[in-house]
Amino acid sequence: MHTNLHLISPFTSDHDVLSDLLNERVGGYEKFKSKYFSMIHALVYKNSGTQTDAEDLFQESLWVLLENLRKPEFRLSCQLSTYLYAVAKRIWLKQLNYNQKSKLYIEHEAATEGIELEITETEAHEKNLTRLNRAFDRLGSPCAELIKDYYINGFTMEKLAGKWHYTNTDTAKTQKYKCLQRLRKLFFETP
Amino acid sequence: MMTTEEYFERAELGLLSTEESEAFTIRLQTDPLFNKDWQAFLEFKSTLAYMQRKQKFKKQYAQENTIHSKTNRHPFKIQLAAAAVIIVISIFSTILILRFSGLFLHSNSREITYLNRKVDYIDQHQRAAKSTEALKKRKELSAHASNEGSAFAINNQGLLLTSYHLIQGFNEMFISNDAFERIPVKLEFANPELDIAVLKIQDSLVYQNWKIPYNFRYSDCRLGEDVFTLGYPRKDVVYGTGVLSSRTGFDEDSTMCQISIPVNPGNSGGPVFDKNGQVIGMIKGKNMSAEGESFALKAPAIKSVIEGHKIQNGIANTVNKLKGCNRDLQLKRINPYVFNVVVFKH
Repeated sequence: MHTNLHLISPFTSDHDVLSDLLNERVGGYEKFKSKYFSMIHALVYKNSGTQTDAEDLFQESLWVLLENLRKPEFRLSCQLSTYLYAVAKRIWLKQLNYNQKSKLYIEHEAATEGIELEITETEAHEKNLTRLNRAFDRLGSPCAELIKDYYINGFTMEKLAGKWHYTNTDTAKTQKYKCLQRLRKLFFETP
Repeated sequence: MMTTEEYFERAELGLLSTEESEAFTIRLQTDPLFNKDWQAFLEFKSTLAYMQRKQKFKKQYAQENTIHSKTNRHPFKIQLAAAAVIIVISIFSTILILRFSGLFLHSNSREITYLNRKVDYIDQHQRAAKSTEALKKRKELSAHASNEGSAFAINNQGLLLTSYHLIQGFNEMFISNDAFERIPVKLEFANPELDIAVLKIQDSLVYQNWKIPYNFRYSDCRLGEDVFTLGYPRKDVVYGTGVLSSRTGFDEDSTMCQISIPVNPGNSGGPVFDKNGQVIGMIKGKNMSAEGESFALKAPAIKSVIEGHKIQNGIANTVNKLKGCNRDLQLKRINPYVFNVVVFKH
């Protein structure tokens, strides 16, 4: 695990926090928040955002980092705080529908330039997620709940059959695939 | 009969038998429509998996966050209450002290003025001593600090604006501020009539990352508009605020305006900003016979002088990034571009 950390970041001061996140230790998010939230809060606050905006932006920025940490090839070329700030700035700009050149009041402007964000994949996922949510809405009950129970909440086939009163797991399985097919169709029909 | 979804999902999870797997691979290579459908399935499933991961994260994050706010709420409230009690006590005690010591109050404030002056006096001596020390280190220089004032950046190529009267007769010039210490500058050109001097920073490393947050405003000065300045009447940067009190300067000079900011000798050459952080002029001096009357050279006059000299890079055509932000933030962003100028003769 230790060699792994050195590969991810050359800054040993960040290894503690990264290790907590990688091992999904309880309290890791809390520690992460106490360390970096004020920075994101300042960014949002200075750019006409609210407390809720800051909370959301912080969570989304952490999420981008976590998604990247899943990839074995991910490397941080700068300090974690700088990376996080750059990611937050990018998301916030997008949210404000601004372009990069608009007047956003950034404190570490020079420091965040040219950092490899590795954010495009997550951004693409986010776009698809919006489509998927719309597809779920159109799918309606009980198909939407059934799919969510199995694929999102991790129900076993037995639990699924029990909840939805299917005579056996085979019937539940057939039903699940029918729903999945409809959802996939709707997903690709959704703009 | 297996549905496409089931078939695909089993392929995705590696649950196909050897024969099924071979047939699947062949079909992918020979049937473009099937291949396309398979790719679509994978994209769809990866979104579903993403949704699952994100929801799991959000749930865990929310759980930790509730614990976090629960454990921290009480100590914070106690701190707040304690702070409130202290404030109330101190307000009452201050009122009591003020009531019973009215007589001493007056002499106290006199002493403060006197002390201030003394500190200033000591400070000046210390400063002179310091610069002498620094000069000793620089063997080529034998002079002592002779004149000081302010200057500010007008573009991202290291060009600074200051008052000509500051540097007149001196040939060794340095600038410094919070970020830089004793940076040598050279005179680019001067206009004695309008009291303008343009200095150039020699070392390009100093200004390589410059991004001036302000620009110049050439429209008419408005009577009564809020203005502020940053300058170096002391060793540390000083912020002054006031209003534009007259659209003309001393003797109705239309290249200047009058501002109600109290300025001191070191303020000369400092920028005057409007409330949005646009430069409307440069501090020139004050009326010796009237208190609180200061004069600034207006931006259009500065512009015409600089344009008249046809140098490579004049006043930058940047976008003002200070409009709408708080004054403290404006100052924070302006501060790196305002300098203390020290000039020597040798």
